[in-house]
Amino acid sequence: MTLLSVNNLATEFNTQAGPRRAIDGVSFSVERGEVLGIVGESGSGKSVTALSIMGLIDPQVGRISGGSITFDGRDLVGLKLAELQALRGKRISMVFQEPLSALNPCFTIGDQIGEVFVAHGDGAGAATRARVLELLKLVHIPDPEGILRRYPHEISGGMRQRAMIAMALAYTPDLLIADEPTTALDVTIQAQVLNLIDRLRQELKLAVILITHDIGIVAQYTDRVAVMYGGRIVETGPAETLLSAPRHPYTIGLLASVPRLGARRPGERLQEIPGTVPSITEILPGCRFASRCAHRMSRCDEQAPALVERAPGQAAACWWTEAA
Amino acid sequence: MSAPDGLLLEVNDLAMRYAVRRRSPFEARRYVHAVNGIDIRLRHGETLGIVGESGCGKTTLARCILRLLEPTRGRIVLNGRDITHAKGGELRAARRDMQFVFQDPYASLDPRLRAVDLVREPLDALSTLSRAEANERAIGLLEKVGLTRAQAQRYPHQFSGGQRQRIGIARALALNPKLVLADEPVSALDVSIRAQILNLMAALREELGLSYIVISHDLAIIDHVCDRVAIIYLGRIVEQGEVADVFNRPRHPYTQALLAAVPHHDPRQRRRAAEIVGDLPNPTAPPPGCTFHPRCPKATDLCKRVAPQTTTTDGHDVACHHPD
Repeated sequence: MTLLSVNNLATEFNTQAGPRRAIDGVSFSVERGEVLGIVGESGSGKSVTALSIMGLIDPQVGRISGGSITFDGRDLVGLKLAELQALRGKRISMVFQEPLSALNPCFTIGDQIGEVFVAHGDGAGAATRARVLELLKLVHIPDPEGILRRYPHEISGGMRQRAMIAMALAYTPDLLIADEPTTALDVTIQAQVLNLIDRLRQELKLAVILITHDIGIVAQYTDRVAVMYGGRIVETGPAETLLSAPRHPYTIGLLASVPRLGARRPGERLQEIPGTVPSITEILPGCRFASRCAHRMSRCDEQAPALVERAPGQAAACWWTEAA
Repeated sequence: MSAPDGLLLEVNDLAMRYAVRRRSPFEARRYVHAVNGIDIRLRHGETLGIVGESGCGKTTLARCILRLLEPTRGRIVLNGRDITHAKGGELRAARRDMQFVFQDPYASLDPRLRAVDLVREPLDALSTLSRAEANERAIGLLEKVGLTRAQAQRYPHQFSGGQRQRIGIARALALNPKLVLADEPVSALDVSIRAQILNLMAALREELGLSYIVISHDLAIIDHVCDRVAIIYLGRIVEQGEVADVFNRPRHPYTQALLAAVPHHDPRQRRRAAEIVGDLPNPTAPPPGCTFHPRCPKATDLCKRVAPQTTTTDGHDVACHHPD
């Protein structure tokens, strides 16, 4: 059963030149127990997509300007704040990239995890304390009693990220959104955290949206992938087929430009994608990748391509792929 | 003048300790040994990778080599000259030969200077060129790293991250250094831009006969750009050798764990990254014996009591009681 279905989502932000869309026409779905990877660089719109689902776009600077976000049969776009707050932290949770800036330095880990229960009206009594302790055990924090009383700066990055995950799991959510959860962590700790998320997905039947720019993480920890560029999904499909037979020139270029462990031949250069990532203010009518693309045709500058299925479950938005 | 044995840099038994702030004047002095007995040899034209987790001492090591810090023990010989305690003119001369490329091109360039001024700054400080000559050389360097004469007149905020890192590299090359230290040179850049910078560094190395020391936590990048690699754990080199040797036949359990923790890029080879338990220990109170023993699957009583000596077979160093 589809748990989350995002349809034609557009989110815009105020710029000096007027409102500009950071994401434009984004559609995907996630099932229970499934991990969807969203891959993209800075400015691709992957974090804006996550924040839109969470209802965390600051109304002072931006807004969802089109489309729908259907979660368990209910459209989240236009929900009242109180309704959103009842869902957030309870049925949809998010883990952020940098645990040190996401945690409040003035409160202990125990108080901050407990606050989730307080915010949802469950009080801060002994029962809550016991549940917090249980959560810390669930995420395999050694010495959970000790960590409860610690402040964020007193524990390591890996422990902080586990505490964040514990907080996100307070009410066993249906959907967990993890935005670059291991970018700030060392590689050995990264493996611990990703394996933890994967174990919880299996045990708790979580649906997970894993946002990352690391191809290795996509390959090892996701079932399906959506590749974003310039605010749109340019390619989507099962991780296995998309990574072994990418169809969109951006995906092809991205996979070829990343050095892989054990694949070096002496003197060999990496394949480059020329140019730079476009900014939100310089968006053109056609394909957003056109200016960096080796297969650019006149049509690419005029008309934006739509996602078209190229292989079972795998779709690319590209005129060149379609012509090939 | 180059040393007779073809060595550009030799570091012997280097150590750097920092005093830990005491709570009262009667408390015993304690030290963090950020770097503790490191030996490095770098030949002309060679690239050495330094790998380790945050807090292992990589950056302290780099700062000692550049003599931004004065080490508390050991010897640094650059091009046959002992610079361990060099001062004044001698130190300035040494610094001409070694330059630094910083991790974050957003934070390391003065926003009030144009690109050409940024590159000219080291020339003004340490060369005898006239103003016009220095200007021409700066523009030439910017062209060498792929920017245009017109772009030389722009300010840092007008450039993308990748272009800024190009300016940082041009600036490092201004004084014709023999050694360039790069601390995580691409980790702040977008994935599709990283290949451009890594290829540029490789091309410059060939053209100018540079030697690099590249600090990175990304093993795939080290694999791609380095000839030799040193793996650091808690201020000590635990393994060092040719990249192909160390990565294909790692002998130290820590190196093995690091390599196993990197998620594989091929989704058809799904295997959960092998986990290494625990965190980096507190460096103010390192464990006795081998500092890796609390996390090591092969640890024995000997490892808990005695720090292992470094042994070398076929140019491959390892500091472990039970190497593979």
